[in-house]
Amino acid sequence: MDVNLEHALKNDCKTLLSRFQQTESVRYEEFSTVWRDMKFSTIFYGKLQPTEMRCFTKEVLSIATYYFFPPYSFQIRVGGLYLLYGLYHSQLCDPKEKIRIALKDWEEVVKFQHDIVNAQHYDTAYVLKKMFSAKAFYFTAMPRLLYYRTKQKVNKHAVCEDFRERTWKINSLVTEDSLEEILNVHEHYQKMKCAISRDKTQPDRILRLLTEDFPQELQNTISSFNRWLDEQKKKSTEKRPREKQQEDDGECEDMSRETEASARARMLANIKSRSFSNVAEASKSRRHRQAELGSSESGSDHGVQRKSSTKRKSLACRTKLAQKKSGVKQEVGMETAGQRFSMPVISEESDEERAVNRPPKKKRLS
Amino acid sequence: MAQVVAESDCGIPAYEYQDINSTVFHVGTLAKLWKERLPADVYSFEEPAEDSSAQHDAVFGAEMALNCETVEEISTLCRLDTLKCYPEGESPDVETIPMDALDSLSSLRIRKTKQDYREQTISKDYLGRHENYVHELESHALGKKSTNPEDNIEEGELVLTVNILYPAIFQVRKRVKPHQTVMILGSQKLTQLRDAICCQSDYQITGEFSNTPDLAPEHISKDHFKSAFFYFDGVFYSDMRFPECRDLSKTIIDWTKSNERGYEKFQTARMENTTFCNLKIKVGYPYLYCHQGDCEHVVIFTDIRLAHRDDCRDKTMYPLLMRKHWVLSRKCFVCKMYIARWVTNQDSFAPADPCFFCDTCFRMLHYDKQGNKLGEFLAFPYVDLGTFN
Ligand SMILES: [Zn+2]
Ligand SMILES: [Zn+2]
Repeated sequence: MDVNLEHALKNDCKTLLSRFQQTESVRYEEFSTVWRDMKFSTIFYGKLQPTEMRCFTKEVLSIATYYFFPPYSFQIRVGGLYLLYGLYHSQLCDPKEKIRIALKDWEEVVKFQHDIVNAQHYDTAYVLKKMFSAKAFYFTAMPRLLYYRTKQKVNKHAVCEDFRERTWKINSLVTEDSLEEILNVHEHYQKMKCAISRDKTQPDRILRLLTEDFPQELQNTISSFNRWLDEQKKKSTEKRPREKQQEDDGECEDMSRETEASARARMLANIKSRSFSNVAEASKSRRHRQAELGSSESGSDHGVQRKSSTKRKSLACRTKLAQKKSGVKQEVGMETAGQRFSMPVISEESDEERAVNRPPKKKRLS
Repeated sequence: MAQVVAESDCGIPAYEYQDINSTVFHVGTLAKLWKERLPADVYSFEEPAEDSSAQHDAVFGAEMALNCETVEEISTLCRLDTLKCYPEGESPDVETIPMDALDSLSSLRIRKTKQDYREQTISKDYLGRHENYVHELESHALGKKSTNPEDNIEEGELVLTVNILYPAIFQVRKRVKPHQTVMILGSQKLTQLRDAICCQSDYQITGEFSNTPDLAPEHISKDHFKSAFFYFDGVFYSDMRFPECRDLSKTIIDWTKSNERGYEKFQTARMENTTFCNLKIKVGYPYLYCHQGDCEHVVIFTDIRLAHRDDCRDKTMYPLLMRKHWVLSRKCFVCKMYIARWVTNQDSFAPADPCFFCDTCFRMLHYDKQGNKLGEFLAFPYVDLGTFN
């Protein structure tokens, strides 16, 4: 298809979704208002030969499908689903052109369906179910038809940055693991400074080059960022189809809103209280990487992860691992060849090993 | 830790090269994995019931544990009417691009410019012959069912789309190479695809018959030289249905074995014993079909998916020809009316070399009433592929 037309179609979809994004809602009502205002159904109008019409419709559906998958944010994905619903039913082909879902992307559909049901976005769930029963999908091997057109410039889908899921950018940079590591390093740093200072209880003035409560400040910043995120999420899920449902399932929804961000905030608080309250204790035993989480975290695999992560791994290495575990997969998302990061397998260290490993470090430090 | 296994290993195709071709996967496993994941009603062929909408809503309500009124409200909120952009009765003709939508939709502006240009330059309702032809092929079998229930495809069957390119000798320098597109079922044999491939070289008649035009054989080369093979991902699939078939791949395999040319070990299998579900392939990757000894076609699987309710459901219609390059027929050089049956070389009567003739004109020009050859020329029977359009 004509590159200009393809570009224009992408722009039209983006405009629609960006206007939907501004409503800060996932309600179908809001979406259909924007749809009608833009007269989006008319995208198929005009004189087209039957074959042209099929090609055109295939292309439009294919463009819209991208917005239904990561790396796009939840709200955009809901908008993407509504867009597919609108396009599928407005098309003028008979029988209708279908929407392609590849096997490798199916998992994302299942997760999405799970999320909308959990958050009780009934209109979204209704639209998705309606599309399944309308047989709107082809279940395929690959997302698009492939002709091995290597020389012809393939128009890759450029991810629209404004629509991305934003949370993970900061959260992959500062993970619980890396924050804990920073705390530990900082603690060591302070102790080293004390050790070479005249007064052994605090570092000499000349050595105070760093804000002393830097880790705490960082932690506070992250926590307040997560609180803000939570509020944003709440906002976007607030406007529900009907007010009256709010009473009977308000509580339930609060539970479902306990999102990643707030879980993370809790975990940070946990680390914070532990590290700061235990500083004295820890310094006595010099167990600088005493890091088991309380049993309150059991059930979350973060806890398990922490328990088994090796004590020898460098900070850089651990940060990398942490990034792998958290959001980075999403960033890679649909762009790379379907690679999935798996959890790194790290063998558990015994206490003996720990004991053996520590002394040289001590020597080096003191 | 089951997920540690890479996706390509567990049969889920991924991109090997983004937007170009997939990783290798087993075709039958694809169907299996889809069927494991999908609720059966999602890919069933069942026609929608009269009250399908009410039924859908009832099921939805039950699944979400919502009462009837709530479901009704949601259903009203999401009804298809909400997508209508004009009030009832005021909707413009769908063949006209509405002026009041041009501001909000950039794609419409582009299409309007194009449409205006087309209307000015080309006569109205112009339908190219080729365009028309392609459309007919695409739609002639949609949703068709057989009266014999045994002939209908099963739910969860795989449909493969295959592009077969014409060999290089017929290639015109164009963006889209001449090809034919065929849809075939996962349960069908490779030989069924082989028999559906239409190539000029199968229709050649060998031999020079200027002295004995009446003895020109009816048999085309397809009937004489039956050997052929497909090459898919390290395996040669040879057609060995007939006793006179030879394994054409043997020469190639012997060649790769000699002098250690650095090829991995190739395998061989029989075309007639292999279904598409048995194959391991990459989607979008160029493979090979070879027949008549040296006529080579590139074969590409462009799509594999579960069969849909709207597909042609009559098994016997597959392989289903979806698209075929329009082959221009060679007309007789004399009457310019009939399709050529003869081609001549070094022809003292002809203005061109080679020159094409229909049977009548050929005989009138080259023989006297008693059938005696006049002048010097070489004559070869010619079968025009255009007759198969
Ligand atoms: Zn051929
Ligand atoms: Zn003639």
